[in-house]
Amino acid sequence: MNYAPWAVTFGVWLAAGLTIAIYSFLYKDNPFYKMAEHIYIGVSTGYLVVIAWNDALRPLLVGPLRHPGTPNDILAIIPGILGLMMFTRYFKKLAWMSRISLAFLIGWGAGTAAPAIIQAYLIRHTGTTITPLFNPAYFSWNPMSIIFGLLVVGFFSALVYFVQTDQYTDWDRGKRRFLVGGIILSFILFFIFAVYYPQKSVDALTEAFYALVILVGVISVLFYFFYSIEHKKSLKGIAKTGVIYLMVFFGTSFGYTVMARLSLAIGRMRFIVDDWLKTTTPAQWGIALPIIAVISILLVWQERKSRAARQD
Amino acid sequence: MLNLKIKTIEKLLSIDRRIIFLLVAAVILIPIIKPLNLPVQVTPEVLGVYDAIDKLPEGSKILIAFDYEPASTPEMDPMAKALLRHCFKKKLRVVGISWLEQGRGNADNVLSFITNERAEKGHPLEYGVDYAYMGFKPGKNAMILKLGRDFKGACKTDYRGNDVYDMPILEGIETLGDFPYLACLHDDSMINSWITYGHEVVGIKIGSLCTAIMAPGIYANLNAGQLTGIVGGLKGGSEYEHLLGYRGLATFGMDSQTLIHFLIVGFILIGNFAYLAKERMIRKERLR
Repeated sequence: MNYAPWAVTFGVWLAAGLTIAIYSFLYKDNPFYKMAEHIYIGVSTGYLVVIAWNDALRPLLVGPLRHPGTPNDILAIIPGILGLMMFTRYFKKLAWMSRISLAFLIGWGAGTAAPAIIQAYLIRHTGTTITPLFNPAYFSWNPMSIIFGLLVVGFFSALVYFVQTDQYTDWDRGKRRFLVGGIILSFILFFIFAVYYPQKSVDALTEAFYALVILVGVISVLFYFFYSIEHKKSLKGIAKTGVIYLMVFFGTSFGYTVMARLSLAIGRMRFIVDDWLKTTTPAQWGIALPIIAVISILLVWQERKSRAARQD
Repeated sequence: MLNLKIKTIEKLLSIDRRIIFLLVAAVILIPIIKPLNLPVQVTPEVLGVYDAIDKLPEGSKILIAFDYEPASTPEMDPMAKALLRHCFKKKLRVVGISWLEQGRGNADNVLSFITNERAEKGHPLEYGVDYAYMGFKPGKNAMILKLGRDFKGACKTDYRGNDVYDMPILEGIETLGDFPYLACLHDDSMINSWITYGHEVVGIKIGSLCTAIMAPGIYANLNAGQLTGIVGGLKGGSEYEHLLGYRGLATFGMDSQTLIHFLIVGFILIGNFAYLAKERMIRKERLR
């Protein structure tokens, strides 16, 4: 949509003023920030009400009921009544009626969502985690890789068992080294025979390693949330591995969140510099400054008045 | 002497947050005033979206979901513009839609900006033929399922109130599955609905263009093959601009982003070193 130049200029000044007012909160709470906050909430709510009427209620409910094009249009009365029944929550005696609408909503949601979500998330993602193990592009199963794969599982199970039964701590250093060394060596040999030997590529090694990292992560994180067994000794180690994975995820999410918030700050700064400061003229400042002064005086006066009222 | 050192470190640790805000503001402003033109490296995730669109034959119809609110426009608009420039450069026909009440106007702004830009460059686009915008459609999951059965019946009218049955751009589009690709611009979890119902039920290919906050959560979907790629945040937008061969708002924004990251890492290091040094000095003081 194209706007008149005066409307663009007014919009830019208004947006710049509100941006500065919102950022002024970084210094401390003040009347300018409060004004901008109230405007933001008021405008958003007003906008949402208009959109809900224009794009939802009028075309989907009121329109079909007033001028039904097909016999089916009259059926819009059913969701209309269900929607109105939601408001009965505000009347104690009629509040039970809102449960019918909620039951319909939850029943429809669960019935539609359950199979789709199980397919899209549970089955698909479990499959993606496990299938690399049986995909020749990742791991090739030949007699040698099967032997060393079984050895990894065997040595690891033995380590879990002996730690769990307190036997590991009583062992001498040689025995411990044999078990841990056995895991590491059979793991390396498994990778050589399952990945490197058939594919002769370092990239394939990396890809297969990543697949294994994801598999270990899924199992250990799931185990961390499995409370039917006490997380003690070696089981504590598995749960701790899960915690490390979770921490890595939270760290990544936090990093991305910081990046996102800074992107918003960059966008606002760019707007202030490029769209406002670089385009304003002395004449505009001449009109704007008295208006800003009047708004400031009114806001400070209002703030002092309400503070005095609170103290009384 | 030791006490003085401890006091200095304590001062450093309790630095007024407003000084940090000022420093961040200064670091953001420097590249805006004088761009640094830092290099951009393209990641496979962004290439996944770019390639999927680039490989579509000329005249193909692409659906773009504008599911982001005005608060996210600094992050989302640069990539929305890059995406539209790519589509129109490839002579694809764009159909826009929005599930968010507040996202409805964003699509109109970006589409107007790009179509005006094309017209100024002598490549005008015709509404209803080269592009169209369906506007805000309520219902989310239910609406996706409905689009999967009868696209025009679900939309009925476009943003401007035109009857969608009369629009040339929608000729041959009976269901959502008739679109070869869906590019979803989102700042919330709307992508989950598109994946669950759009991809798994209807079978449409999807690319995600999202805010940085959303990106880590959907990598699992990328690994599961439910997405062709992810363009995440300003960084993803700058990569997309780089692939199209221009330096836009996302690329310029990355100059500030890079500097701020250095500043934040610096703060973290100073804070941790100061804390450790203080602990060490206190221990020394006690031993005396």
